[in-house]
Amino acid sequence: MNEQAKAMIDADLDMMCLAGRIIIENGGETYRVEETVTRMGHALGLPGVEVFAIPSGIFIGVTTAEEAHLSRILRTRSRGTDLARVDEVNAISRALEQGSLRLEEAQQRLHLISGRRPHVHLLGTVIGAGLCAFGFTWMFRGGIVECTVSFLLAALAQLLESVLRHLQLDGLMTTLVRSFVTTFPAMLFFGYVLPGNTEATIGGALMPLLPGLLMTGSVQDILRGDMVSGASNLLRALLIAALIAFGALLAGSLFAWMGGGRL
Amino acid sequence: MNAELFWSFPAATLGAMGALILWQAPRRALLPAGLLGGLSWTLQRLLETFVCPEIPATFWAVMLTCLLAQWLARRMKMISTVFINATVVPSVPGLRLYRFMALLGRGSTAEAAVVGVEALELVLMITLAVAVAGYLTHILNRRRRRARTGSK
Repeated sequence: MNEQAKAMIDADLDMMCLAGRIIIENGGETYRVEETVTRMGHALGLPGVEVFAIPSGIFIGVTTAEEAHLSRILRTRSRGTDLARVDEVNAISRALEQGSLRLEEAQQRLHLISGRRPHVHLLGTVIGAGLCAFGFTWMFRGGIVECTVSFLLAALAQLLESVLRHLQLDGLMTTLVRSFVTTFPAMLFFGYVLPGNTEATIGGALMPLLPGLLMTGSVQDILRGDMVSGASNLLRALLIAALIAFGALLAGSLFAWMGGGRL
Repeated sequence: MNAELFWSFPAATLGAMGALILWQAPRRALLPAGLLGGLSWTLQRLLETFVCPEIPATFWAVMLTCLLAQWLARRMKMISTVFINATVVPSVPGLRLYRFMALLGRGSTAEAAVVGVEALELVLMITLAVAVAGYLTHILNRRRRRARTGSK
């Protein structure tokens, strides 16, 4: 293979790695990484494409028309949730497959997606968490007081998450702190200030913290036979649920130690 | 009960839409996916009230709405992750998780065990429902692809 052809395939591989990294770091399922990157490889005219993705890395191997083999290994560290980015990468791979997007254009768009800020900013996510808690507290038969308290606590917990992330504190421990911050003030409020449905308030306020996305993602991975990724994500989801529960337990114990108010 | 059933739809829709904002879901998916979340919870409550106990009601409601979520994702040319998660989120047993820890904290171990098992059953039903809906969609899509290409 001459140098020019190798440089072209290197560029293709770079683009495939970038697409895979965006999906995996933004809450996409690992099966989706494999599907999308394989689709892109075939659209770029590579006859052989093998992709193996796990939550902490991606391995891509390609075979060219001249039977040359090239591979890439990519370690992924950060994990967040930005489903709009995952959706856009998926759309790019489909457009490439259909031939409605040129390679350079696809590369440009992927770099743009990778580098841009999330489309919902801090205030938006704080309000989103609050609305989520408000709705679910209402669903759990909470009244207007319960819904408002739940909104404020979930918004506070979301704000705290941003502060802790800014301070580069571990993501899993953040869950424990957020759970405590959500639970304890609700107990204080309903124990000492106003009577109300503590259970609905805390249940609703904890909903934004629950790992529903991770859980369904792991099921989808397991369903497609990707046991390593599925089991690893399921374990992470269980660990997050345990930390949320532990945070609530700590808050309950502290509140009981303080006398327990009227609860 | 009827009033509660009526209000369960907007409440679950609002909750699901809040979760979608938090997950940075694409803007054009917010309303349809949120409505799916509301539909999923309302269907579950309807089945639970008139047809069967909570555990099978959760399975059927989540499974049927997940099928709808897969269809909608295809229609809107978007990833199914957004719609499936919006469907599932109202059924995630957050309240039971809190109840479990509250009872454990009070030393009511036996009651906590019952609530904990119920929460696990619900999680199992949700995962099963997502898996079955995914499998059915996969079969249907394969059939449609085969019909389109004319191969067996």
